[in-house]
Amino acid sequence: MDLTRRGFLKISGATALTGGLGISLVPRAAHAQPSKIVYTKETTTICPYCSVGCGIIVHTRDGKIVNTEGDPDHPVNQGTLCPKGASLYQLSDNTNRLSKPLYRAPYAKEWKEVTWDWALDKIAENIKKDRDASFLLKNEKGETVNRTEAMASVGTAAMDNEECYLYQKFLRGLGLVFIEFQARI
Amino acid sequence: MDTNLERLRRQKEKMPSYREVLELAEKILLEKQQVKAQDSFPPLKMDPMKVRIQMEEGFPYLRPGEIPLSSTRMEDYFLRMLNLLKEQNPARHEALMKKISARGAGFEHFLHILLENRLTESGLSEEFGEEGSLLFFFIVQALKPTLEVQAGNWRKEQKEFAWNYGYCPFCGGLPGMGEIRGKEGKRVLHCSLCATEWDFPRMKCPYCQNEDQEKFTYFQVEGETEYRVDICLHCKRYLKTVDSRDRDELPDWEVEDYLTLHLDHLAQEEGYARPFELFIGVR
Repeated sequence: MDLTRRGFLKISGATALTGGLGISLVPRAAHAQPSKIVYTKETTTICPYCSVGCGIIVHTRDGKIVNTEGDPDHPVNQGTLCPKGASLYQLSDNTNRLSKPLYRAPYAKEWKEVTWDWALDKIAENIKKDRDASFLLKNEKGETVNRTEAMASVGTAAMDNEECYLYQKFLRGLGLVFIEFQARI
Repeated sequence: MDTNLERLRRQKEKMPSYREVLELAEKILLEKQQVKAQDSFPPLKMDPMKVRIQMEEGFPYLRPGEIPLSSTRMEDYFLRMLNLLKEQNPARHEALMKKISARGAGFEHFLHILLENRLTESGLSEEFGEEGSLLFFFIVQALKPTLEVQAGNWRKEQKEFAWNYGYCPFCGGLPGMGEIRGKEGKRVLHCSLCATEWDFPRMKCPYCQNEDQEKFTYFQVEGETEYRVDICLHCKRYLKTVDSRDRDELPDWEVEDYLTLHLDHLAQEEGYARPFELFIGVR
């Protein structure tokens, strides 16, 4: 039933009584003196953390996230969230999150700040070194396996389907067989 | 309700601009409580099968002609409200009474044409001037005790029911206010006529059924986080909403409506309208 074309009356309830008494809605006194109003937008999304796929409502103000809450109309979680999902807001606003890569050299006690370029090169270098040193062409029975058992991957729940596909493809290409998933770490 | 009326009493001190409205509103709401408590209302007799089919098709429980009107009771409440107006604002009362006398018609006449959708607030304003809104308000208000009691009886008989429309499942009235309730944050709409409440999706406009998230926004006044004004940019209408999640008592929508008059002012200043129509789903 579409209500858009109906001729609604302009006033109702409390505003009708106000108008009827000849009182302007415009406040004269302190209560709502130029009240500063703040607009917020709601957008639904799916929690990125695990495969349950809970619905979340994200509140944004001037493009910045100001709140997140469980979506009461989502059939999976009906407004509820686990502790990790309930703190999703901190994904965008959390001063305790690392914002730069840190590196601790073998046997070193301290972490030091490094650049992303340096960190990615270092990771690639270590992967290459370990993979080459541990790569098995054949198993004990002489069957071709082309794998490394020296490395494992614990995947992230924050990746989407396509990212998971590419990541898994990349790991298989390296010869990894210990490929796992984490949901709530 | 008592706690809510107490809230109205307390808060009105903080709203001097609306003091006169709030004082009269408090008396009217108190009077309504008494009318509801004293009167016995005739029970509704309807075919459950017919009603079930009706509701599945999006028609409210009440159908035209089945609205349980007891004009004597309604007129009694109407006259009580006029008396309250007399105490509160004698000049306005006198002006209104003069115009009613000049029309030569009583409550029953106005009620009759109201229910036939021929009596509108704008029509009354043309004929009755400033007092038109007041008369319209009193006539609509007079329907409430009967409708609220009947709706309450009906709700007790209902188990779970699916109702995904923006008008009341019982009387077809439009929502007076929204509420975000419970730890899950469900949206509940409150009927502006019979006070029935029903669940409604957060991301849907009750007026135009729009579900495009890009067309929704809400505003709040700084420091008043328990209230928000939900806006549909598609139909340019607004619905005031109270977030009751941090409250001990469930809010009474009429009390909240009066306590948030400043939000009506702000919403209208921003260019949005608050619609009202009687029994929208039953016509």
